[in-house]
Amino acid sequence: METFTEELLNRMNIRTVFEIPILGGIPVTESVVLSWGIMAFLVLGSIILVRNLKIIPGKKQLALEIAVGGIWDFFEGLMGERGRRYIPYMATVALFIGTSNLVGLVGLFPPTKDLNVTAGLAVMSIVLIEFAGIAQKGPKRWLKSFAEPMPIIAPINVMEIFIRPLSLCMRLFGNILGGFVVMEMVKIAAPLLVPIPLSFYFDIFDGLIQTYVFVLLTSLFIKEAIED
Amino acid sequence: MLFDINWGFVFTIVNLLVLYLLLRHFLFAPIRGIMEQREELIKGQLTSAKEKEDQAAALQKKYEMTMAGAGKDAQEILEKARDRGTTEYDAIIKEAKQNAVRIMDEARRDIEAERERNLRLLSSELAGLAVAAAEKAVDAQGGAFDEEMMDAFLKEEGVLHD
Repeated sequence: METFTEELLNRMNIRTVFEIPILGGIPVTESVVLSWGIMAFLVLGSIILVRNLKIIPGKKQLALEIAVGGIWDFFEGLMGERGRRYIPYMATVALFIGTSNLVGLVGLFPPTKDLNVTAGLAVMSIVLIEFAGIAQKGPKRWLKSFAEPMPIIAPINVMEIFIRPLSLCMRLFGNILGGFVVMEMVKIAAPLLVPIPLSFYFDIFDGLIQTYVFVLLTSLFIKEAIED
Repeated sequence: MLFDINWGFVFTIVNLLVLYLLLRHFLFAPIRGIMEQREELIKGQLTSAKEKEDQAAALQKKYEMTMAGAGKDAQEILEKARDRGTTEYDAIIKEAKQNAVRIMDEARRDIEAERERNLRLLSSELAGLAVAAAEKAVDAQGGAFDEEMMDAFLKEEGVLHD
């Protein structure tokens, strides 16, 4: 039992891979390196798939267009006409989180089980949400919008600036870490065949659901921010 | 350890921005570009197809009108031809009739003249015969033949003409 707990804690630990020798040494963790790997995978995949696009598409291009078109329609449906400019960023986040949550399938750990990654994502989301509000309404009307629908709830509206990213961050982090811990325990206890059906739930289903929830909520907040 | 925020947070933000720029450049822009290009092309083709259809319809209308006009023209030409034919026919028939009448008249006149001539010939011959007979009769009675008296007699009888 002692070794089991130790083994589990060992697997949950995020190690520092190397240090960049400036500012007294900046540690680069496993999750950052994994993020780079995922970025490289996505960018290289894009470059390979996007080569020689034609007006009359082949099967590969058609599949790609359906995927990208589907993502576009999804975000446009959520954010509306005015939110169109934020679609590329939201699609990037969706691809990044989706891929991150699924890398557990190939024996790596999802970078989204690192709080730093989900915090970064959530802070970027709230920055984008408030930026969208300012860009749409102008600074004055944006400030006034905190006193809507009535001035008394202004403190709550201000608190939302912190609550929203915190909830986005913790939801993603908690779900992925929880799924990861359960899967690691199963892998330690019964490494043969048993993890397969559970992996479908914890790695694929939960990973995709959390991706969906994250981008859905961010999109809804953006829509709220750019509404009149 | 599980909840400490460190440099990974900063790295994540930088990573996200870099990934956003890269994906926008390598994935979204080309695919959206080609999709929009195709949409544009289809729109253009639909418009030009509509234009061509309109043109074709106009052309057909024009053609039909021309055809209708041509039918009318043909009818007119036919009628004119028929009229002219009828006129010509009438003229020919009329001329033929006139000719026939003339020929008949001529023939009748010829016949009359011939008859007259024959009659004259016959009467003079008859007169000669009569004179001869009378001479013979007078000779038989032994008297002289008064030719003047004979002619007068014949004239009286209408045999001999002046």
